[in-house]
Amino acid sequence: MSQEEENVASDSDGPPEQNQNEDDEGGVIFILEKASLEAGKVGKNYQLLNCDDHGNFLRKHKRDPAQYRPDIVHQALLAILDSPLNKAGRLKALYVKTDKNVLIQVNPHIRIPRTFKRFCGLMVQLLQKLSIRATNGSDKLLRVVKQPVTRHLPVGARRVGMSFSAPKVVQLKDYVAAAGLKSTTIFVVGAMAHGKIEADYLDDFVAVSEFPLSAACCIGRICNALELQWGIL
Amino acid sequence: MAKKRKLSTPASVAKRNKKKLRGGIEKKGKPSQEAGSNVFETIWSRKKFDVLGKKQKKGETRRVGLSRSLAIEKRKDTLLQEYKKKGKGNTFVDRRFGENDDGLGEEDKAIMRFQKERQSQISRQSKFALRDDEDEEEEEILTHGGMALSNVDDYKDEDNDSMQDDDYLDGLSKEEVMALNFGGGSSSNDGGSEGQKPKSKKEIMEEIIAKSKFYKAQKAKEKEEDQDLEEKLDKDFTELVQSQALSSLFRPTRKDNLKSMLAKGSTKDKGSGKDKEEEEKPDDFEKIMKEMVFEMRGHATDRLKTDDELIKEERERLEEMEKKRKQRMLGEDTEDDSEESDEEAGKANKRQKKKKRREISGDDLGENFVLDDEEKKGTGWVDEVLARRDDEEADSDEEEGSDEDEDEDEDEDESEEGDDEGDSEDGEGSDEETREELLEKVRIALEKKKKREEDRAIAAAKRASEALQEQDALPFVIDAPQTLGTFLTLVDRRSNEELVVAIQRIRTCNAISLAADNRRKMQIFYNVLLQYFGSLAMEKPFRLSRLNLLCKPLIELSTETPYFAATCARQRLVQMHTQITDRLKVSDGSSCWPSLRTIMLLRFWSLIFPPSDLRHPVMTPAILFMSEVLCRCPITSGRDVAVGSFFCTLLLSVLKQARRFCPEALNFIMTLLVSALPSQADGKLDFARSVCPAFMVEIGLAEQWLVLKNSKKEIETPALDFVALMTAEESDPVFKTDSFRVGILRTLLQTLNGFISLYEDLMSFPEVFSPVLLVMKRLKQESVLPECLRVLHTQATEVIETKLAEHERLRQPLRMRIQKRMPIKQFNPKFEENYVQGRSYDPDRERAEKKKLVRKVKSEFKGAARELRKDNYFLMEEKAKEKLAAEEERKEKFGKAMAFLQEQESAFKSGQMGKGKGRRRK
Repeated sequence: MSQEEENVASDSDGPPEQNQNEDDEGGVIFILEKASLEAGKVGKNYQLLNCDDHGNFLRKHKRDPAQYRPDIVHQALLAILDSPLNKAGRLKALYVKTDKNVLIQVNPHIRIPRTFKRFCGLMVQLLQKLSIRATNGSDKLLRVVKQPVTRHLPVGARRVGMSFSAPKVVQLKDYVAAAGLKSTTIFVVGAMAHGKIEADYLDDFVAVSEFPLSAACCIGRICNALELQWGIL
Repeated sequence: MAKKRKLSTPASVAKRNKKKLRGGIEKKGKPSQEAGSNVFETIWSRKKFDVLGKKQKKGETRRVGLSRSLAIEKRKDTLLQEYKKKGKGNTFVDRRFGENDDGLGEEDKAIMRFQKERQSQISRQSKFALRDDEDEEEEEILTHGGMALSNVDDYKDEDNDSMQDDDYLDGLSKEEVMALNFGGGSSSNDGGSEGQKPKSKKEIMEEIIAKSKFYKAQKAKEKEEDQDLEEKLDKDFTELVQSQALSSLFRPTRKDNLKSMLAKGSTKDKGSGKDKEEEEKPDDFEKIMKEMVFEMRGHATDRLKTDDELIKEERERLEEMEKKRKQRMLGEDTEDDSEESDEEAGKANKRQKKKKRREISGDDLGENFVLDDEEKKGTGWVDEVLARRDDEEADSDEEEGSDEDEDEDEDEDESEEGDDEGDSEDGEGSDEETREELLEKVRIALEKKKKREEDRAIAAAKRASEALQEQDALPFVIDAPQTLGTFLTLVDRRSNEELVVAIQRIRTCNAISLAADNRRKMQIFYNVLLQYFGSLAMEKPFRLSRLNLLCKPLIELSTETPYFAATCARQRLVQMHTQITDRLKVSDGSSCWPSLRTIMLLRFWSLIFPPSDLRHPVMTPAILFMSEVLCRCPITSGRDVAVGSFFCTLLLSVLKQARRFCPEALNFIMTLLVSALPSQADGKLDFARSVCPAFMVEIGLAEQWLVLKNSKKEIETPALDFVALMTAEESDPVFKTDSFRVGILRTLLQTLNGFISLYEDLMSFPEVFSPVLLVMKRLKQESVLPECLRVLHTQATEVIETKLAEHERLRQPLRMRIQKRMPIKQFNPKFEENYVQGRSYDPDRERAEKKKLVRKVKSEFKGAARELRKDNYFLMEEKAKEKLAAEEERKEKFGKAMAFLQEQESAFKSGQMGKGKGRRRK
């Protein structure tokens, strides 16, 4: 259902030169665009709107239920945060930008709830309180930050958008290798059910498969390629 | 919207219209009535976030402009007034009529004031003016009950004191009382309904009295009627009793009661008697009922179990036992240690097959003495021997049944006893016998004399029994024999069947459950039986079938008294060990290897006790004992070789289940295999030293025990006869034959194969078995082995080679400090299942409350600051206005003055005569 970004095309001359991070090791930053995280007041409570539970509610308010897919975000977040890449500390930052133009900064140390229901609870609270703390620490694991996302991105990092519709299909392994070991790359992946990411800050727009992939799958590919490059087992 | 949906109900239409109306106001900002003046007042507050499904509450939508202008108005009324009065000591309050009313003009005010003035004048005059005319009777009259007091006669009810009596009042209705108390005696009240002349007080009272009298009379009458009825009932009942109609319904005692009751004739008793009458039941019934109460209630019996359930239960039981055995194998603590022995692993299925045989013996015992065929695989000699025993058993009856055999046995016994008595070492007697004697001595060192006497008694008893044997049959009731002598008298000359029957009878007659004393008796009997077992093992000729027969009752007895069995076994083990160590110290060149009795006992214990336990009071020392024998006793004869290889096989079968490692057995096998190398082979000793431990080389390679004389020749190798080998003399020529050697070699190779398969999963397999491989290769190289053993040899070699390769492949090279990569620390987000904004989720209520208050204070503070700010702004504006006004005024004045001056100046300059005044002033 979630046809994400990937594509068809041919030139694989990798990304151009990149600025070296002052860090001794490279990292990766993920941005999930167009995530459908929206809280609605269903009955008495606020709930994260999703097409399964709130189909009638959404139809009553003249919305398309197919657009309300927070499960994609959940999967994508799990794919990123559970990857060995993150465990090895290579995930530098993670941002989620919602359909409703809310920008959420996700701390890589967070352990996302495994069940969707709990995830919904977390997101609803986040959207109301604007920040979520850890149970055993004082640092904020999730927080709503100011737009645009570019103000939070490191200078000089390469911003790569993932889209099935991109003209350039690349072999991720080579693409990542061309970026160099010590660079930080920003991958922008869409977490929506339909459509294409519209981000104006991208340096490159690539497809990593000839098929439309789900967000989680695409992220998995990116993580695998990076783990391979950095020797994370 | 409403028009489009014509079908909708009026109510919903109205609702929708209302909604639309409100929405219109909100969205279009349609001006309300007072908002006409100020367009800004039409602005409504806008939603900050568009949340789906959230309805706007009343407080959330505000008309921002309107509230602002309202606030300004309010300030004008309050703050501005204060500001104006600032610095003034007092105020002038204008209270003239109409002064505060903005709607009135000056003219109107004047008119109003005039009117007021006139009115007040009028009222002031009328207050004190006397009434002019009588017609308006506005005089105030005191009334009671709507009647003027002057009309009421107060003294009319004086004489009715008796009316106050409560009895009379009881009968009065509420209205009447009301009328009496508050009626004021007004005649109009009572008489109003009748339209007649109101009754006088007296009449009313009379009426009341009459009424109460009537009630009283009625009550009395009712009571009288009741009494009449009761009397009538009494009479009827007496008649009934006298007519004997009831007598059949009562027990005699009850009848008496009834009579006495009748005699009493009281109505109360009668009532209860009636009740009893209902309760009463015939005598028989009560009796039966009471009987039934005291009778045992029948309990529901357990349902007969179906086959499936039985199988399931059996399976569960077996699983349970297997679990326990595993626990013990791993050395975990089990709660009940009382369960001495347990099931063998993986035998569950087999057990079920063997169930018929097992049913008498305890469930938790090891395998029966005679092993099944399945178990034979890989165990080698022991099982071969046992298999043969099986065969022998089949025809044991014929053999043992014959009288000649019996006689022979008898003779043997006699001679043995004689030896014992003499306590002298017979040069001609076999070493074993002497050893056995020694062992016997050690065991019964304390009761030696007693034993002697006992032995004498035994001998005597034997003689007696010999005489008696023909005529007396086996008694049916046998007391448990408490000494070996008595037991021997009983059974020694009996056939095998009779022996079994005798033991069976002893066990039945002295079953532990029959008497408290029987436990001790049976324990002693168990000991006796064990002694008999030992002595049978030492007998010549060796009667294996009889030993076999003894095994079953012994095993069963062991399960009955597990602790005692273990104690017996341990005691004997200690003796065996001391004996061996003593003999090793002497080192006179004679064989130190244990006797047949020891061997049989060890084998027997391996059947009784579970060999797989990590730590077992009997099996652990037994295994240690065997291992010690293998690595300490020097091999001095062919028999030692045979015993050693038997021990190896026994150890294999014992260790197989728990997969314990036993290096002694392996070393022994290796040493013997090395000794099979031809002596002329170059560096045999060196080679032996390189693959075997030095002490094994010493004790095992003294002679060429296993060097085949002519290996090239095909030797037919019958299976070794265990009994024959064990009972043979050390110098027996059978040990010098090639067939013996080949037999031993085959046993060794089979046992080795068994060990290989046992240890193939061992981590140290390459280390343990690479020397074995060397030996095997050497054996092949020297081509020592005859054709018949080649198969075994190649099999062992191949298995070792493949396993070695496998282990080598799987082994990881040693690495320096493998550090696991530490993952980044992860934190769980803190959130609530159903979060509601604004609600406090602090578990500490006090703190939450405090926080709430602090928050309130803060917001109030902010609000106050905001108000003050607005006040200041307002005042600033006012001041600015004032200043502006003052400026204006000043400017005007200045302009005027300037104009005047300019005019004057111009007039002066022009030479005109200005106003006379100015000039004059100048």
